Amino acid sequence: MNSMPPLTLEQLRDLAPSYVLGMLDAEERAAFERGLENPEHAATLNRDLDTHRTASELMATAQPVAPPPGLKARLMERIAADKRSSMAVAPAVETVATPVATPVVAAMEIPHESIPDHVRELAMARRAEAAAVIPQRAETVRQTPASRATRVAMPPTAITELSTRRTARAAWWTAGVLATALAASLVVAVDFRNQAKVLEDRAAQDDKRIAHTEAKLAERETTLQTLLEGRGNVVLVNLNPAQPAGPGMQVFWNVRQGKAVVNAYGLAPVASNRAYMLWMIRDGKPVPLKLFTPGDDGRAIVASVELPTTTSGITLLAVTEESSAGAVAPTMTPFLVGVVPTKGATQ
Amino acid sequence: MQTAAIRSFASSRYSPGLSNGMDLAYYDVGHVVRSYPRLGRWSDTGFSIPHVPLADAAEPLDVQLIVIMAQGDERAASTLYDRHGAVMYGLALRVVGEPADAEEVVLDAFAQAWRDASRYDTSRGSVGGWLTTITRTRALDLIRARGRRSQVTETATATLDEPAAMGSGFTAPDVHVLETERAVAVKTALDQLPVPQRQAIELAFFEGLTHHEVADRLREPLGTVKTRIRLGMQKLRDALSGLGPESVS
Repeated sequence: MNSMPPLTLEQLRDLAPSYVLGMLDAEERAAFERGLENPEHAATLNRDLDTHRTASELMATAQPVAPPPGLKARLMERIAADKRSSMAVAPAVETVATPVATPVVAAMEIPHESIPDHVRELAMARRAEAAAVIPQRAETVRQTPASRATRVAMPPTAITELSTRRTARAAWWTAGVLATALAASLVVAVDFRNQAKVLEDRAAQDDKRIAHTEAKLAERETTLQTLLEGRGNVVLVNLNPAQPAGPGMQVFWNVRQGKAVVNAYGLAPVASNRAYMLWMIRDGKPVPLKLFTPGDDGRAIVASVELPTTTSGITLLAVTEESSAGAVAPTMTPFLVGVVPTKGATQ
Repeated sequence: MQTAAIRSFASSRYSPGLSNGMDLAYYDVGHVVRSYPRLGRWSDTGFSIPHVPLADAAEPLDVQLIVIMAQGDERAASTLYDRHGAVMYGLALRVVGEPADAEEVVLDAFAQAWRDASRYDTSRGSVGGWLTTITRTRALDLIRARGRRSQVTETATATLDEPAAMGSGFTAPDVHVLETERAVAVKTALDQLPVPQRQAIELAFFEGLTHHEVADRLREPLGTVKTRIRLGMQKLRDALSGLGPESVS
């Protein structure tokens, strides 16, 4: 993505209120945040931001309205549920030390708010599976003569060799069942956790993809708007039109809004520390407009190039190759030049 | 003992000129925040806010409530809701327009605050400001997701020649607007802005529109909109400078 040239402190201070209100587009916001990182500007800007933030927070308080009486109860209920589910996750490790069937189900409770619905549904399904398996084993455990309740209730009578052996065998058997139940429940729990993790990762990737697509769409939208919203006031400047294969450039300048869309083609690739720069020649002097780099296909479509809202005094647009940090004056003769039409719109 | 220490800390350093406990609480919060403007997350710093058992603390500070809430104490959430719920609900209502939607926004916003309490960053302003920021974000998410704008700005753009429709703000039927001193002061400051500036700011704040979108909505050049926002926010800031975050209730 191409970046705006560094902003002056004055420009940054002008943008501060809009930054606080969240009104800047992605490019402006990035330029503003780069300005914030400049130690020379940071103190002044942060002071400005603090005061604007305070004003905007106060604006939010302009109209307090008594919430409906039931709302607090709903909130407290939700918070209690949230707390229960987050506490249910915590004892998952303790399950290992306490081989009882039921906590396994509790251990699979997950915080409702922090994970997506499909993960929650999976949790429900897993819980149902676990519930279908575990009760049978639990019942077996209860019927075992060696279970703690049975042992406690047994009268202290003489113990025959046979009964000792039987008891020992039953104890081993019970231990085996318990170990199996424990192992099974741990496998289910671990499996569930892994699955949830996979789904969460996938959801995060999807979110990233969607955000990327949305950013692209927003960019297209800006391009389209710049082209369409100029109505009769779109000026087309062709740079190097004589060679259709390029290198060349079209600048669609929406004079009404002071915005332009740039379509460059046939450009040679540039080194990583170099970029192309668009200039306007105003009153005979070059003024930097935009740094950009072409894609692998030698093309670059740049939306939201800021230009004046009048063509007056601007005779030419030109492109040079510069350092990727930008330049205040061209360091080479432009290799693309286009004449700005003196009046009216072109097609 | 701990409580007594906090009280004496509060009263010896910050209480002069304050009339009641609530003011004291906010006054303190404001000063804590202002004294350590780059404090960062409270949990990341050596600066710790003592845990005061709620039953012992007469008027715990908002910041203390956040700390206690982060430890899973619902009573802290309850107190914070009592303090800030009306502002959150009023803001949500103004953005989304429908009381039922506004309730959902407040529930979501507060549940988020409950979960994120340990990440509360004192350097970004007051607790009230943090809660309203979450509320505004949630409310804007909702109207964006539904692809509809709030009633307030529809009213606003439909009645460009009627400043009162903007200044007085949108009020849904059957809601009880609380005329707090601060709300009146903020509303007065908004009313004093030139109508075009107020419109641009309100479209940005209550609808989350960008410069371009505001320009489109108002059919004004982009540069004009940017200037209006800048001038309007500067005036608003100057008009509200007496109302620091410490008086936010």
